[in-house]
Amino acid sequence: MLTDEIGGLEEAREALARERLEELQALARTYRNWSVKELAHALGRQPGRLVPESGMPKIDLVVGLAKALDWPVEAVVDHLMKPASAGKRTAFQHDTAADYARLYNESLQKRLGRDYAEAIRLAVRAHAVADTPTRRVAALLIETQAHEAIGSYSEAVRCVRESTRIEGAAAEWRLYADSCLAHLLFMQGNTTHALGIATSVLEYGEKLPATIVTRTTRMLAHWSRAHVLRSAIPVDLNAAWRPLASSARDDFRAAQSIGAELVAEAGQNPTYFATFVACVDPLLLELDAICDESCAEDSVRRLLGMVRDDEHGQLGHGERKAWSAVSLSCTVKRFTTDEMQRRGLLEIASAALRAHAVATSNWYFAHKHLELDAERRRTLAGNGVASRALDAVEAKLVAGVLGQIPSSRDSAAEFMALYGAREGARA
Amino acid sequence: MLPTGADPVMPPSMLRPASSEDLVSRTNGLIGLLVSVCDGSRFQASKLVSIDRRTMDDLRSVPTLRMIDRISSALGLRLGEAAEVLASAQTPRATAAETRQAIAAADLADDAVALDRLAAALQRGPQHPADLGLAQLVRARAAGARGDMPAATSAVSLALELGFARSDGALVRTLAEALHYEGLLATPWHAQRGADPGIARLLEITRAVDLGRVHCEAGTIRRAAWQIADGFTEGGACRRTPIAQLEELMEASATPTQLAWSASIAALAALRACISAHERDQNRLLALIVRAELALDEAHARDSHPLLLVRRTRVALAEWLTRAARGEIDERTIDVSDEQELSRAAMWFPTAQLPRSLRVAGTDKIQRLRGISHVQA
Repeated sequence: MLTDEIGGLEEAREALARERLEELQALARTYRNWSVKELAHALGRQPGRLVPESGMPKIDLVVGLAKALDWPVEAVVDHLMKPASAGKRTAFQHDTAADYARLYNESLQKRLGRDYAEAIRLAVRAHAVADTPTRRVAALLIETQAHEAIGSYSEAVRCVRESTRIEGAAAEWRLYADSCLAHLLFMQGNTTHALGIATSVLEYGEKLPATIVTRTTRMLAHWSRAHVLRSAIPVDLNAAWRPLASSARDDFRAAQSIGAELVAEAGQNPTYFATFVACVDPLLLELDAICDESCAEDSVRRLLGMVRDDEHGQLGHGERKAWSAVSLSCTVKRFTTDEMQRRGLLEIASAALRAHAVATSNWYFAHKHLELDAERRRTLAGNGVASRALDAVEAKLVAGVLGQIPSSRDSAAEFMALYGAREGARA
Repeated sequence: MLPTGADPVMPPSMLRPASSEDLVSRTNGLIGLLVSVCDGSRFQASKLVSIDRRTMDDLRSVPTLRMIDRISSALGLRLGEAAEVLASAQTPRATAAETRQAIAAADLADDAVALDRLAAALQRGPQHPADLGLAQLVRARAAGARGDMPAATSAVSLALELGFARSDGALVRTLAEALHYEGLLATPWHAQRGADPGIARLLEITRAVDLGRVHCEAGTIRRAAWQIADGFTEGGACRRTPIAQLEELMEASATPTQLAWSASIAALAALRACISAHERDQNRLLALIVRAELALDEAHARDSHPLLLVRRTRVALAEWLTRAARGEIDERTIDVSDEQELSRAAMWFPTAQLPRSLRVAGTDKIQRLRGISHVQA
């Protein structure tokens, strides 16, 4: 019977969680040099009740354990709940090492065709049959990109980290993995590490010959570093920030120039590079306004035009609109003084970001939309107007942002207060 | 000599960990989102996650992982992600002065986790472009506290490119000194010997800065210990005066923080000198090592100050590596407590490469778990 099977699965999960909980508690005791009593005190439990009878711990116990181990809570949860794995993926059916190139290329094609689930499946199969460290890295990186495209940033980061731990891979692929990591960390708001990794990649990358992989790596590293610098510039500007804006501008221009060369060489399918090239222009407009305030009005006008641009078919069009919206909101906050105009422009930017985020599960843009939306909700609450209840799409956006963008969790309580309130709920 | 009581400088908490009330209220927040996903219908939400309406309407106790698993699946989140959302600590807005005070305290506490969080906070809300340089230096110090000097030197090089504010001179000098001396003395598991050029340049830039503003008793003792330890050996022979001076510093240490630094620096310097010292100096060095280790053990038994443990673990690891280098390890004599000590060291200093003779069962497990825990950010 199905119910018996489900019951059996639940029991197996509980047994696994109990065993892993004991293992992690032992590890925490070793790490902190604690006795059982000290561990129990730290976890807020009686020494005899460190492992619940059901095996399934309450969240406060997990949080306490993560704190004791100096691990992320997510890592503790994963270890408690994930079934044991042999660590090596087994080859699918009759796949052999000779199939690697075919599987790799098919995965790329599926991703470009937006069939991300299939792209991931093929990348996993390619990884399973990869017979060299470099091939394993390459397979993990196309899997990373498919996860990112589907909006699963945590899985993307897991894959790319796994690829950076593979020993013996070609230096150019190792650096490419690093630049992918820098990009993902920026998207997740971990900008300190993103800046460090991107800069190291650019430093070491100079020593390698210019292949398509090293040039893509450099493009991505310039892009990530530029974004980290751009996003550090606050709304309340002063002249001290101009050199930083200028550095970010140089990085964006370098990314655009490398990208344009790669587009020209890519032949039939330059989507990946073309997207980067297309997205740089609006970001440069934002930085131009910071470097020279007299450009601000023109920047806002042109950015608004880009956000409203409906010229479909151009490669990277949707992404370009979304970056234009990000740049528009930042530029408006910095330079537009008329309150009504400001609110109107921010509404337009917010709507464009929301549309793109919903269509593509891009949580970075969703986060930017929610930040703008939260500002509006705060203003409305300040004016005594009750904010409307969330619709299903918005609720998924909030959950996705909190789940996939760790930096947004700094404001988790505020987001919950703004969006988690059950106004408008019915029985 | 044995320390009691609190230190004059303790790290002011920059974080308020989620309390049980927070966990409950945030779970209610997730339930609110779930209801929104079900177009406002609580009945549908309850049915979707198989949690009864009464529990959903009136959640008062901390939920189990199973309950969170059901809610998170319905919201399209993995369980780990939802758990992070519930457990995330609140970072209160801090002034620039408070942030710098916290950095100085975390440096003195050798607290890599706090340093990493402070670096992220500086980078996320910089008040001046030079804050980005300071953020990278704090990240370097965090890497140094984990014993990962390659990561530290790379972050220092970036910090130098980004620059520092003149007003942060004293803090920059303190962090640079910590990186310099810890790199020289306290990370024998990395192949690089001698000062890193980037860190040396940073020290040179800040040499003239007055440390008065960030000074405290423990910081003074730590600095004195490093400087003595740096002049420990001369032409392969151990100098008598530094050994006596280090012993005096240990005697003068009145708090756990002071003792943790003075004793660990003394032991690490003596261990380093052991490798190349003349035979006639060996006994004096061994006596200093034993004395310092005993002082750390006794202090930790009295006061479970985390700094005492992490410094003691660093000394233990350095000692294991020194003994391995001298061919003194007999694998058959490694007992359970040795295994625990090595496992602890592998957790505190994840990039330390242990020689084959020291890879005991415990450290193998740690190596395996490292992949799961993503501890190395």
